[in-house]
Amino acid sequence: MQRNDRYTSILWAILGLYIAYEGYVLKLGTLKDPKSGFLIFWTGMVLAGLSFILFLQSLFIAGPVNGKKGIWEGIEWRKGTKMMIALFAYALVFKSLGFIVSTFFLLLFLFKGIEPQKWKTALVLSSVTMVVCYMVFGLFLELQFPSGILSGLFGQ
Amino acid sequence: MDFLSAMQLGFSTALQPLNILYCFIGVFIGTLIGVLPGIGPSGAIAILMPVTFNIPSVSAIIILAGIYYGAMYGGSTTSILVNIPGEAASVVTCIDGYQMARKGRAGPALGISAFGSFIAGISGIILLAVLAPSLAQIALDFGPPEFFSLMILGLTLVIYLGSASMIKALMMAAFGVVLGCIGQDPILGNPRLTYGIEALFDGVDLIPVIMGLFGISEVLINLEKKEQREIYETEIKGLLPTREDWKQSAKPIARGTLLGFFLGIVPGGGALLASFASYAIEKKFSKHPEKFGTGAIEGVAGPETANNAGTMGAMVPLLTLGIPSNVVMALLLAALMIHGTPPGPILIESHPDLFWGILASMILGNFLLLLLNLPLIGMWVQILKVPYKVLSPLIIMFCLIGAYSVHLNVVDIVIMLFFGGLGYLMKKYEYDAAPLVLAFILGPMLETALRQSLIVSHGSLYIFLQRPYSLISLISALIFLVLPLIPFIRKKRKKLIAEGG
Repeated sequence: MQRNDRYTSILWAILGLYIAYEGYVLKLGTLKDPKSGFLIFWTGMVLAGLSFILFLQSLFIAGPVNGKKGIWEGIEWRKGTKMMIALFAYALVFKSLGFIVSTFFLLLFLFKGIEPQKWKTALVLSSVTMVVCYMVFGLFLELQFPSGILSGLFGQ
Repeated sequence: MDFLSAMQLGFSTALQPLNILYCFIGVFIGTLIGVLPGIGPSGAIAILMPVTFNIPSVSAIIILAGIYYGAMYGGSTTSILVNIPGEAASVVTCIDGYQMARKGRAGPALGISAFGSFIAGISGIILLAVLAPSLAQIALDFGPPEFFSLMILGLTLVIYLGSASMIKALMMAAFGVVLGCIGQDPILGNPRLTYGIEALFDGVDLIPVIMGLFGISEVLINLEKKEQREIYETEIKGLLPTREDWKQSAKPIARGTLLGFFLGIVPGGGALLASFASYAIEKKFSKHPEKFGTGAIEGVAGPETANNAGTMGAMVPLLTLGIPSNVVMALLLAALMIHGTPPGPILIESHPDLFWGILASMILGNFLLLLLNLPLIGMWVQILKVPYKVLSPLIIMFCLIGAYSVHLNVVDIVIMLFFGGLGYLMKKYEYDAAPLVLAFILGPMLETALRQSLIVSHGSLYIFLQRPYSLISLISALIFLVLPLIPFIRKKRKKLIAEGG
């Protein structure tokens, strides 16, 4: 974890300095009349400063037990990656395909593609979940979901 | 308004048929969330908050608060039967609760947990009703310097009490403050850190952030592991604790109630800290501490009582000062503000029906929870058998709908996914999300209080030291920041956090 802290503290330090720069651009003002960038600048500097302290800590202070498994070793990372790609794709097509179509295919992917189940089970679960969500949130709670390619069917 | 008239007003609000229904819905969902590992009360409240926008503010808070304290009841079921906490504050219950189940005493464990939670809930509400109006009276004299210092103290306590690495927690708090600055300057009105993206002009909404950090990231973490959930197959009988059980549990319940309530008031405290502290104390006070870890009923009674009392205590700073002490209270704050009833010192006077109505509904809710958790325990056991591979897509679905429903904008889904990925990485690299979220909520309020204070004092920082409550808060915050530097205290703190980890 010490090595990880070394890397992450560098990233946070860069982010902190960038935030401080953005705050400076927005104008700091004075203590009597603080402007928009006042808190942003000083918070960015605090973040950068703390990141630097963490970096030093990772260099000089002994870390936890040696031989501990790295955080990425033995991890099943493919499922999570597939899931995130599917969710971003869902966000992209949500308005054009509409809630019903995009949600059905997303659920089918999640039930079948992430933790594989039988096709019949995945299809049934996807359909039922999509219908229940539409009925509860779309009809009963009247949330305005996009109709997308089914707009003709729903008269929108 | 005297206490009896106030409670009469409260019950006349809470006992309206629709509010009874909302209370039932809230505690039912809360119990379900508590029973099912994978999503906690903060995620559930974030998902359901948008759907409460169209109902009156009292009803909205009744449902959302019901989810919070309902989850405390439900969490014990999973802890006792599956040895997996349904939500964070029930971690400790696993230690002795599951051992009781293995010895065929799941029934008394569940029973004492429910009854203890009920006693704590009712007692906590009474303490809340007594303390809150007095505290609100004191807080009427508070100005921007006092609120600024109190928020700094609150953030410091969250960092001190909850995080293994204070430096990392402070970094997350700083990042949270910056995230809270995205959008319009609260005083000058110009856009900040929006990069020309229209959707960011009103700032980043809390709900997608919470759902990403606590919902999506949790699913990602769980996908890494193979599911191993074995429900201990035991006949659940004898839900009513015996005389001997009550004799052993009476003092832990009493101690848990008081400890839980007052720890709940402390920012960063709440149900989680209350349950850990209670377990540690019961072990210390017990005549047979060696029995802890092998199925001691005190190890269930104390923590389960304390976590429910903690939820009531957490309401005190929210309703009287408008300062949330944990993530769930931050969500309730957001809900109250959206409904145009910002909490704070004048809430009790300006909206007595809201304040006393919520209290009365919590009394009703605790009765409903006793009914839900004991006679219907069989139903919850069946729900526990739903495999995670079926649950996770449902959790994701609810997160997506919840994020979209905030502004009916796909950008909020993207924001949620961003924070989901960030939350996952934060968990992997051991950065705590709670300070980030609290700072995100408090950031705008902090900035407004700071700038107003500096304008009033003509730029003098001395104003924060001149006011007594402000000075006390800042000194306390400094003490908590410096304490971990003392080696003895550092070791003790790390040990406590590791036990909780």
